[in-house]
Amino acid sequence: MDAPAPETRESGTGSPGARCILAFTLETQEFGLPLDAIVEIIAHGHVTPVPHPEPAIEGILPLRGRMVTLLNLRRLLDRPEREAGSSAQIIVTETSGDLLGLVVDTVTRVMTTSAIPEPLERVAGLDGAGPFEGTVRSGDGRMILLDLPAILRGLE
Amino acid sequence: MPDEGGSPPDRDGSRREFVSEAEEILERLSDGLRELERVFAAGTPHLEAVNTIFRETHSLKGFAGLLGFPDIASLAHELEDLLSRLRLGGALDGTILDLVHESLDALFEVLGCVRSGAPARGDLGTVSDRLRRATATLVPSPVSSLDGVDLPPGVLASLTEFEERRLRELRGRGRRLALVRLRVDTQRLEDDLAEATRRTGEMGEVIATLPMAAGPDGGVALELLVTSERPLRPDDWPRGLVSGIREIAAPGGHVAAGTPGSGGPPVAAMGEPEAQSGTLRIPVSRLDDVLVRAGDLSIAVAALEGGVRAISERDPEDRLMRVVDPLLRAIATRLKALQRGVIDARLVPLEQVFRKVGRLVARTARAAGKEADLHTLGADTEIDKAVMDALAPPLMHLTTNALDHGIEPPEERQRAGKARRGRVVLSACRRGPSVVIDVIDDGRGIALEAVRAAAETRALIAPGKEITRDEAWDLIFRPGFSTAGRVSVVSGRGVGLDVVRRSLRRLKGAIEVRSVEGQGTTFTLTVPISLALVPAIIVRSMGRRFAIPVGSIRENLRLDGSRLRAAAGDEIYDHPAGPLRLLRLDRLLAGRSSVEPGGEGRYALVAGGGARRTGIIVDDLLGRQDVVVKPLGRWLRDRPGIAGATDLGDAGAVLVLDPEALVAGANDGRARS
Repeated sequence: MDAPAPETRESGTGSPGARCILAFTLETQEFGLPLDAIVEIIAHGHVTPVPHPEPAIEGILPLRGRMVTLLNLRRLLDRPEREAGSSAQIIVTETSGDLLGLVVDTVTRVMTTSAIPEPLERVAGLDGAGPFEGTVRSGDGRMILLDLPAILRGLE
Repeated sequence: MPDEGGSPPDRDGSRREFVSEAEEILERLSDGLRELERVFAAGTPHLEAVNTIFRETHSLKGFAGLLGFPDIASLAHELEDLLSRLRLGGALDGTILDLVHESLDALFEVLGCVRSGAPARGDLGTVSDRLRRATATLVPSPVSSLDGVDLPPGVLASLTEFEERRLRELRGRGRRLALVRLRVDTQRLEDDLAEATRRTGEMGEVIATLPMAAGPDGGVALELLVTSERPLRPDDWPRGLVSGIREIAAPGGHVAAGTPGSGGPPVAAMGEPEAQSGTLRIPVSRLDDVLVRAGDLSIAVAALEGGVRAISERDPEDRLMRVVDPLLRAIATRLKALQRGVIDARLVPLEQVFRKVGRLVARTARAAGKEADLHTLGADTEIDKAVMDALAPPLMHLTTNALDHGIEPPEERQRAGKARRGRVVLSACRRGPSVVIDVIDDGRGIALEAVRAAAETRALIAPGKEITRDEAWDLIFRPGFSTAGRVSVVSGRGVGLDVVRRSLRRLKGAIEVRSVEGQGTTFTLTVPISLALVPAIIVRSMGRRFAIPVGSIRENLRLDGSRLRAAAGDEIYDHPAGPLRLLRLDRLLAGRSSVEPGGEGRYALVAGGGARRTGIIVDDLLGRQDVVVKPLGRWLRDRPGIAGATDLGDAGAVLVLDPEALVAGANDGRARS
């Protein structure tokens, strides 16, 4: 049996180093998360609260026989709470066999970027100390790339 | 085993196959070893028991060698050497028995690693070395010559050292010697041979089983070299198993004339193929897959039922729904039967774990200078494989404790008017959805005063405080009660009983203790038969639903408001059986305290035994249901009092509570504050 050749494969989307990013919003700010860790996107609702010292952990939600732990990104990033009754979406990620759902306002699109993230200056009240990789250009403005491993470390 | 290229699935398959097969051999080995311990303790001849172990060890060696597990094969080889010295008359003693025990333990451990694919722990090499050294110290006893025995050429040559020695020994005692020719059917070779050997054993002793050239009609011919006191005839065996007997040596050493090898009745007709094809060994994970799928299906069906109910409530005359509803109900019923069926397929008798404990007993007792026997009752009680595996450590722990600390030394027992040998009893029975296991010893029991003193030393109670029996039983399970220093002062019990309790909690079970000073101690373990589906009561509290496993609930109270009173910050209920402390779920689940206290609080579910007995207040009981408990993500896994969550097929997840932990948490918190 031959192992796959170790050469880099050119995907249709572009140059080596290009990454697929899922874009979403919290309030009016655009954020991004690398697509690879993401399992699926589901609607927010019917959350069962579970007490936890970290207030951003909202609770759990069943997804096809497994339990997703929900992390409210607005709370984690010290943003104001969503207005009551407004809808939200959950980006479900999987790490080490556990499902973590990031609660966001709206998922907007998938984009590809090969840009190296620039350090985060103060954007919309967030600073570089948070779980961010940096920012990349997106349309007219800048998108903040979230650092998922850093978020996970913060929860351990 | 065919020679295969070793692609990963084959390798995996053969590894699984090997482990199952090898574990069976090891189980039989352990049985043999227990028997050997028994006859050794009784002072009766132990050759037969050694032979049994020797044969199993030999199969293990061959099997491991064949499938490419050289470490296991080589340990088995050393063990076989040791055993063959014993067969040749080497003196058996406790050290040798311990070494055999250790070898089996090492083999079990390595097999566990092979099964899980983990790198091998433990060191088979060390055990092998010790076996080799011990073998060298065993000296075979001398035997007499083989005068006057006219064995056909080839027969003597094919005898092993042991067989030849045995032959000399028995001839030395003047036994007759004969070759018994068997006619066995190829299809039922093992059964026939086993039966012939067993029958022969009643009349004499089988020295060796010698294969012959195949018979003319395709059957298999075998000869048994047999010694006996009386002459043997073909009709000593049933169903024409024996086709001829040739006497080789008469009593005292005269060579007998050969009798022609014929004359038995014809070989019994070949049996019908068995209608029932017996058992099938499959990995538990496959059953689990089926179970998970059935569970998911039942969640989907429950959701569908919810939808139908909603439409029917809006429009009771809806014709489609009136047709669909009974169909859906039928599907749900059958699905439940399917789930039950799969769960039943996972059930195994407790025997395996009882045997594992049994292996411990002789050795632990010897190490502790005690004499004790283990009795088991209800070993055929069935329980889920996963539950059984998880039960092994606590049961071994409790048994070791009983031998180490509970059972008194023989002299002390005699002074107290008890039998020299202590008794440890493992008794299991099924009770509803649970299995109840008692670990009983007739030792010295738990001394209340010693518990009190130990607890005082460890600052678990206020100095000079008197304690009740229930409080004492509670204290011995406390973390920190036993970890500090030796506990044998506490007439024994307690090395890590908190660990035992914790492992039972993980199984959604419970443990209780009763003890009478001077008479003995009983630990009672209650565990659910299966963890796949847990029978639970669905309750409502704080406007939310919770599932509480039935196994941990002792009583279900409808609260009478006039019996409630407050005392020292607690709510107390005047229960007929004595005052009962009440706790509210909102407080137990110590989340945000914004939830307003109260609610109707119409019911209380009583959990915890003895001093921990506590009622958990809930607003409403919504019904009983079997739930599939799903683990929570690692961020929530260790939340106290929460065992997991379940999906009842409607909106959202429902938390499955662990009442024992909730109640314990509340009590421990109180004790510290």
